[in-house]
Amino acid sequence: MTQQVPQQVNSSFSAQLPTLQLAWDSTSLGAFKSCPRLYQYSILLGYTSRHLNVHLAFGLWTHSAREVYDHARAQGKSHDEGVTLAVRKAMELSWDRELRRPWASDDKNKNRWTLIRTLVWFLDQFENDPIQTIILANGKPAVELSFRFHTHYQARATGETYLYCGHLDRVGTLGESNYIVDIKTSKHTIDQGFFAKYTPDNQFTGYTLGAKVALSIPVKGLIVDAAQVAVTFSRFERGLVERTPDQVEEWYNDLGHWLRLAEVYAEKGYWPQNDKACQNYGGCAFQGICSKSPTVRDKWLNASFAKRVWDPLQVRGDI
Amino acid sequence: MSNPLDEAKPQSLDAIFSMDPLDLQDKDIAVIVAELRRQRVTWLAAEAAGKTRAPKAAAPKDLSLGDLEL
Repeated sequence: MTQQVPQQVNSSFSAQLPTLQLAWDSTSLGAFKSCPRLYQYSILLGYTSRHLNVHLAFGLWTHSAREVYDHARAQGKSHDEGVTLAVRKAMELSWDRELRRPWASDDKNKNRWTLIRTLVWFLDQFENDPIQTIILANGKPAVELSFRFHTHYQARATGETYLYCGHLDRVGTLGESNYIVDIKTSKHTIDQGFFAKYTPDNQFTGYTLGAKVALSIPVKGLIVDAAQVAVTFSRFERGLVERTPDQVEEWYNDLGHWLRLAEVYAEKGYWPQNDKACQNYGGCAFQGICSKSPTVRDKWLNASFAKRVWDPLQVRGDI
Repeated sequence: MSNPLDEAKPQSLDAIFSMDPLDLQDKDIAVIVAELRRQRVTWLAAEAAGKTRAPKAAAPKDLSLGDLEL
């Protein structure tokens, strides 16, 4: 069956039309743009892998440890003190508290040792970072910032206003311009193609808009700190990914069309497959489900996946 | 303070990585950091000597390497 509705409370969905998402973020919008069925399974119904995703965990923990370092430096601590605190944070995050043992990764590139190595090498390389983290009016550094803003789009069925939400790693100044700074990790060599793939990009353009509208920080785009994580080394490259106002406006205009389409599917209670996207990004996690007869998919979903609530309104940091 | 490198033997690193992080002392983390910095110095020297594979291409054309201090 494909006409299920969320079983758990998710505040980002309409109370009047429970299949209609009102608060969107780059993850949910990206899933919807990629494949409505993927969106239904992963966002609306909340199915997720039962296993920790190595790449996701590595990226999240790198971000979290970097945040600890940024806060330490903003509080006046030395580079070495910041590194110590960041390493401690990464060690704690990569410890399986339930099993009382280190995180056991089956990836030779991304494991606990390379996580700590990448962190230390990265922080040392950028100890004297020319990008100055913006200090907010409340005295805190502009790191791990959640944002949300009301769009001018409304659901025709319910009259409710759509929100757009996001989470920025860091906002800093380089020269005369502001940029969102984001870390991306990869096991591949970082070349020009690595940075080029972020234009156009749903996540980055939405971040650029969010920084301006919700945080009142006009940014020219993003600076991507890309980390190549190999077995014996971590190498870093930094690239600019800029957005013109016209590009941001185009993205926002398109957003209205995507939201209208999402409303149509929500009213119908049906999210069609995009069978041309099954092989994107290394293959869709739900391809195995979609390959089965529609009559047995529910059983396979419940047997193969765990559930969680993906709620963009859940704040991770300052807002 | 003693040089953490003096203690940065593989067995001590293994032991530190096997510890519950809540039990880690700052000196334990100093051992990890010192060893990683030693490895970085070695790798950077090899990189400078051309013994490691360099990136395929430069950053985007509008990226000022001077500005970014790479």
